[in-house]
Amino acid sequence: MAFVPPGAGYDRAITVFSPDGKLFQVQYAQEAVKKGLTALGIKVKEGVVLAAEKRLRSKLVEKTSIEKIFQIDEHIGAAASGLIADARVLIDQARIEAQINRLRYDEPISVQTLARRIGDIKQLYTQHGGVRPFGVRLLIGGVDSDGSPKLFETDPSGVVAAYKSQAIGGGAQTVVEFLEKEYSEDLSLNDTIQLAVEALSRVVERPLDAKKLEMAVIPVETGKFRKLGESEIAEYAQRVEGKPARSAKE
Amino acid sequence: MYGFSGTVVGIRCKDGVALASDSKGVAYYHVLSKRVKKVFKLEDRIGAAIAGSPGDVQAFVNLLRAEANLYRIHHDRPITPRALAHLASNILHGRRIFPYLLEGMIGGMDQAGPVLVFLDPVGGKLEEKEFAAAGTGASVAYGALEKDFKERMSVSEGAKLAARSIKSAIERDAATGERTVVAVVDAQGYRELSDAEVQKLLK
Repeated sequence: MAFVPPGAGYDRAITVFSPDGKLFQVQYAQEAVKKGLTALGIKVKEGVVLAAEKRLRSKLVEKTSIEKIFQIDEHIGAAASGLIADARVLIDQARIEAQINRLRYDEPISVQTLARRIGDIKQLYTQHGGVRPFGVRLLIGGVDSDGSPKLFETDPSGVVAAYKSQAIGGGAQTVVEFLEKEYSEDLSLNDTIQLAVEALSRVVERPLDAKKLEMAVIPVETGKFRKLGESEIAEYAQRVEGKPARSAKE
Repeated sequence: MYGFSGTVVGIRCKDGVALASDSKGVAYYHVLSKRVKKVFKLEDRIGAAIAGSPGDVQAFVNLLRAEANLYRIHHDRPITPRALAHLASNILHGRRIFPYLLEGMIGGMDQAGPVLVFLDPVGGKLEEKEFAAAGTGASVAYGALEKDFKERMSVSEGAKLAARSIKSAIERDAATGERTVVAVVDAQGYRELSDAEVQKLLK
């Protein structure tokens, strides 16, 4: 038989364990997320904030058609990073799962149950033949029916974890380091939105403006997902642009 | 319908729900059993009283218990009586053309207080504010319930009325008979009363 270099063939078509226990296709999917634009989620006592970086490829594209943050149900939203086409498919399934829960139990789905369902779907795509894993991470935020805010992350392997605050995508590490320093669960919702904009400003191309950001909140008070309008985001962005950049101090 | 027999009642009180049933199982003129179970625990704070064909009742209750256990594991909290009744309604309606031969009610406690939901054989779900009766002797039991039900009854008063309404059905419905069985669901959970306690209620 012809000479086969060690490790070859384990990164093709179907996901098969390499001799040292790796699933290359899944690892490559994780890499795809690292090429994605940054998104973050912050959970505080007053609610959950989702924010995502947006880049318009052309002046002629309709701004609202580029979406990184999706509403899943009245009380849940998700921010995506990685292959957005993959995200859309998962979001469609998440929306269906949310409605199934309402039909089955006459109750809004809990954020944890929904995050686990998405994790289950992602896991299936690491084990079946003829498919590839989802190249996307999702930050799923919402407010449960008992009024508690929740934030979960799902990765391409299907791992589901709960967070106080988390960032995904290319600038994740920078943003997480910033959030680790600045996060407090006692922040007001407005301060949390401001913190989210400040965090993203560290990885988004300056000058910062509303066209480069997409944001949503789920306040505990209403329990309802709401996308922030461009003028609203502009106010927060201006405040960041107005004051001297934090990195200059360091 | 084969083996469809017996009467069950439920009363929504201020601090809990009282459920009661008879214990007779008949098929036409044949008495299958004198000790048929028709009141069940589904969750710590949820009970059910179901009249119908014993095989269908048992299969249905086993299914609901499994669903309640799965819900508890998946959601880290017990299912609410309303959610379980909604699920029961879905299961019954799913068998619309080959139905479970039963009707009854689910009663329990949620965060806000006592809940009583009546279920018909094809999934009709009716939330009751006061009381409900089902089975072959339902009309007889309703007579007793309509006469003596009072608003803001305690669950011990409710248990007494439930037992008496079943007693009436035992007296005047041929397919209802033998023992009177009573269970209460309150903040402490689900509890079935002993025969001695039931006899005291009927005095």
